Amino acid sequence: MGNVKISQEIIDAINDPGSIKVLASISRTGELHVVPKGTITVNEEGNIRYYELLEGSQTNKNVTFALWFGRKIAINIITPDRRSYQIKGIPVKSLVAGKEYQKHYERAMELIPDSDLAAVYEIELTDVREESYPVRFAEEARDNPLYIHLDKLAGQA
Amino acid sequence: MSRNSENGWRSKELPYDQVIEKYPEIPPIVALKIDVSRRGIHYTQAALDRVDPDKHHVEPYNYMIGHGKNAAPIGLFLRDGSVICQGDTPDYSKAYRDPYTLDVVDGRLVLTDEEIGKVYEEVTFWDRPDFYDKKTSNGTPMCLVASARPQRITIAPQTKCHFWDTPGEGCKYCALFSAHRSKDDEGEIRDEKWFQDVEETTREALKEKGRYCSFHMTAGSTLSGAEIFDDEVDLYIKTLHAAEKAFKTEKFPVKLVASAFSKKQLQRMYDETAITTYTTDLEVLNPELFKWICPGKSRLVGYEEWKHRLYDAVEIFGRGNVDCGIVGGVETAQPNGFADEDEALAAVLAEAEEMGRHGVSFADCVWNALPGSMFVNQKTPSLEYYVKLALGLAEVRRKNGLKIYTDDYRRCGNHPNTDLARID
Ligand code: SF4
Repeated sequence: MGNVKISQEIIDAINDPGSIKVLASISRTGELHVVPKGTITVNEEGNIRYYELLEGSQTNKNVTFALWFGRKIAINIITPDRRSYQIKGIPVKSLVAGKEYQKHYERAMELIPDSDLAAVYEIELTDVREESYPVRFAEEARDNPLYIHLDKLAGQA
Repeated sequence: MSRNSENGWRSKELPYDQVIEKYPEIPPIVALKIDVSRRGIHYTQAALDRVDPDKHHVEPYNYMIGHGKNAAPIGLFLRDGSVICQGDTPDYSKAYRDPYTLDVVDGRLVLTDEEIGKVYEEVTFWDRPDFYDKKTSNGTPMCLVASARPQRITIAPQTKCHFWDTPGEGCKYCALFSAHRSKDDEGEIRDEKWFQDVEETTREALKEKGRYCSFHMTAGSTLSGAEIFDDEVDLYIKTLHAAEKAFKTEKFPVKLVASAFSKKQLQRMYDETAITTYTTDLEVLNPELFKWICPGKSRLVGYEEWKHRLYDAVEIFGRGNVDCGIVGGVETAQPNGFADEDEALAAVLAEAEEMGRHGVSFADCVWNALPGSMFVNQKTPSLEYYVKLALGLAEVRRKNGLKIYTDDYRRCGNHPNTDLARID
């Protein structure tokens, strides 16, 4: 299981309602599925919490599949100022009933009045990395200096 | 020495860890749920000390069975949100296998196998329904009107099964309503006051936001009426009408598990009540074994007719909205059942496939030789058998394009094969 910790900067990015959050998962037959999930946040333990609002959705099925078989799901966060973070993790808990779930059910209705919360997933983190272009560009130049078109390296005539 | 410590059962079948290795398509947590349902659970004192009756769902007696006993939890949550519908088994000396143990390890409530010394999963107790503390305007404690699972409210309009009226004609694995089996015992009285209690209890239950996804009704069979089961149909309709007053929509998720009604009776139920799905239990998918195991059902309705009533129900409710409950594994009961597990599985799945083609889904209960049942001393099948059965039934459902609704992991929670539909 994952126990990767994330910085306050990334926590703030994930919890920012202005960020775009996208979740990628795989079905039991290996089909990829990528969808926006605005209800992704970080909980008190530093794990990802996400509210699944559609019980019959493919993501709900895929995240349960990941929980059952210890598979990873991936999330990408794009902040309003265009920073991007990729987070991977393994779902470890799904709340679908009980008093704790019921608190989230009411919270979900505060966020989206007509919603009917299907599940609250807790995801332990296994990998976190910044995917913003300037950061990745610098990493690429450092790690793979030979990946470059020669015209970029052409000398003055 | 207890039966299970003498018989060497552990050396005769694959243990949990090897079963999940051999069948990588079964989610380990579902296999664990099956094994716990099959073997039962024994609570240690440390686990019992964790029970807070003000917070957790405890029953002073078993609502569906009716025997008095100390208040104790009736089920557990697993971390995937699914449930195990079993309480403590205080005495298991006569059971074929010793149960799992519910214990506290490193401050966590966990399922363990004491002999192997391994901790399997963290679990939590179910929460107490808010309506349990309330009384109706008639002064009836609401916990006597309805029971609950974490996401369903249950009402039993009749606490007597009349198949027991003829000695030996009840289903041999059944412990339901076993407090009311004598011929003169009519079960609990259902007068006008009770229907009012149903309305008020339902209304109160719905105040708990986010708790209930399904309204469940089941009862023992009532055989009387102009046509067999007519009085049972009347009782369900009247009970549903009482509950319906608490809802603003005509239809809502009702899980009705009832006798095999005729097409006329089913049409009436569909037209006059909130129901949109229907479950009736053929219990064992083999005509000869049905005759032996469910003699009352066999004599008064018959295997083929029961099956045809399921097909008739599909015409009314639609494909996938009609479920057949089975007591998975009971086909191996001796002396008349299959002695070979592979033969049993092949026979059950062939019959399930035929019924699946007709639009019937399955709700598989794990057979556990329950105290109060005639089969109390039977040996239930291996975990491997139950796992293959759950996987096989899930495949029948997929192949025939069937959904599962009110018997699924959430609206019911007691069927491993329907748990698997979560990822379909
Ligand atoms: S019909 Fe059979 S299984 Fe159902 S309550 Fe009666 S005896 Fe039990």
